[in-house]
Amino acid sequence: MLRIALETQGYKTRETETGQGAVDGVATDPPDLVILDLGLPDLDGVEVTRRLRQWSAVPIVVVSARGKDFEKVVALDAGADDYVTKPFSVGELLARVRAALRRANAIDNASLEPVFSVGGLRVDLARREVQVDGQSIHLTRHEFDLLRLLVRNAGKVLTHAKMLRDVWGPEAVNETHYLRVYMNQLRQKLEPNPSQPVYLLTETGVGYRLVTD
Amino acid sequence: MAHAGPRSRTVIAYVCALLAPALATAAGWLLYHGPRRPGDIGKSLLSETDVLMLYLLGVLGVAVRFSRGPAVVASVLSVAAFDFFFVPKYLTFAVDNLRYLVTFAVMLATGLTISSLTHHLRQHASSARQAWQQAEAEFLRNTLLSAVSHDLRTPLASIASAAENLVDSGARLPAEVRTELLRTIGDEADRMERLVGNLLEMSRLESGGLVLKRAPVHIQDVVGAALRHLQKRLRDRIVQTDISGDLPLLDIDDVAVEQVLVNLLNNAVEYSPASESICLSARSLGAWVEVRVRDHGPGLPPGAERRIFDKFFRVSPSGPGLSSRGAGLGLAICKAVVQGHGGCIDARTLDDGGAEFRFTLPVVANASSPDGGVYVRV
Repeated sequence: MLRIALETQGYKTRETETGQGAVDGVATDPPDLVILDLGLPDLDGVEVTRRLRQWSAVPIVVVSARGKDFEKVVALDAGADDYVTKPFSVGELLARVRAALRRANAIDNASLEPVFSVGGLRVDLARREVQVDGQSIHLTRHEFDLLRLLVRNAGKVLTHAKMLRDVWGPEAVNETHYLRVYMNQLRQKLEPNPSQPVYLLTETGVGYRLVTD
Repeated sequence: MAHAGPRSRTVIAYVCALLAPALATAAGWLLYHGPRRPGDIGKSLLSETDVLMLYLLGVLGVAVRFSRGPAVVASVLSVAAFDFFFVPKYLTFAVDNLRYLVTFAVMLATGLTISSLTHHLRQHASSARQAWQQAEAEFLRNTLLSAVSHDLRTPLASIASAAENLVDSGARLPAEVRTELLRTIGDEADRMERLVGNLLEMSRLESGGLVLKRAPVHIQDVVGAALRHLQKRLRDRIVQTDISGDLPLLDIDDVAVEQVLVNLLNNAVEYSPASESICLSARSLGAWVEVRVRDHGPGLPPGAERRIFDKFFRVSPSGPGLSSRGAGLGLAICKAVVQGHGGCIDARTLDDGGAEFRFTLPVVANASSPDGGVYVRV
């Protein structure tokens, strides 16, 4: 299924049944992107992510079973770039794959745009300016720090732990309510309707994502 | 005692079997040999027969409460103690009257009979309970099986026939018919997925109990995620949200509560015409936040407001273009999750028609205010 869908889109695919096979495969002939099912027969998918991350920056999109949010979060914290939950639509997976590849290229070219814009939202990181539909928005320091983190990882899901660590420091990793309060404030300031967000999406049980298109 | 292991239970039983005759002896000794009533010289407060009744009471207690072994021990000890302390030639086991032998025999027989009767009774009760549990499990399994097989078969049949159509005459069909058939396949597969998801969720709730991973969450987080989750299913439907950003943080399992909202929204989509909007609102009620989901469909069948939360209960289709699907588990899951958070959930038909579901969720205790300086840590 997956292979047909990917190959119709012009991607070349290689498959391996085991975690060890994946690690070896990436080592011998590095692909542009890895799609990793967390339910592997031999190695734990999270372990594969960890091993790959020791020497490779290849984008990893993990596939996990429904109801195993913890597993996803661990894989993301171990260095996976994104995830989809089974059962997922092909469109969803392709969107994740495209976003992960785009990010990888942007980093390679070291040309991360200083101005990010999507829909009516425009964020100028260098000048610390935020606009919604042409209107300047004032953000507090933590609000801006949070938004900057999201912009730098636009399109990618960020786990609660990662966001807390980056914005508030490693000792705040478990203080999820900071994050909830500030994300809520950001939404009130940036979203046209904060209950039906179009920019700052909640990934329930995992984290947040800033949309790119 | 409910938590004691079988071994310590046995120990307790035998300790009681020792205690009962001892207590009877002590009480009997005080009343029989003890202080006499003034002016009533030579007469005890109790006769020997009364003392015997005290022993019998002890044996009865042990026999009713425990198994046969302790009952036998209690009756033998009682007989021995009675003989030793209360049969003339006190403080010896010597018996010189045939009358007492009969007493002993009756006492022993009583103890044995009662203990074996209660033993049988207890066995009957436990086997009846087991049978009832089995019957209930059987009933649930059967209902589940028939519901599931029907609900899986219906979409499966649609998928199969659409696929067959496409294979047989796909090339000759007009493009819009082909698209329609393909859409049917997709929609029906989604329906099956929802059903299987609910089934899995229900069996998870039933087998492991409900394990909630609670953390501070804003209701807008959960509402936004639930709506996005249903993006495809909601299609062009208008969803009005009336949720203030000032609501306090909730102390909830966001994954479970998202499921509640998804199920309620799914119901609203299912039971109201596509042209009608769905309203989602939330308000603060002290230590709780109340969430409401309302639709503009035909409302609930009268009298079903409570039963709709029962497992496998289904509302039959009513109104044009509406159909009932699903195994009747969605609302049962909602109820389990909301109650697991200590909240309440109910449903009613509004005066102007349409169904409204309300549920409450707990607010985080002493949530600190944002930007209050509490977040700065050195």
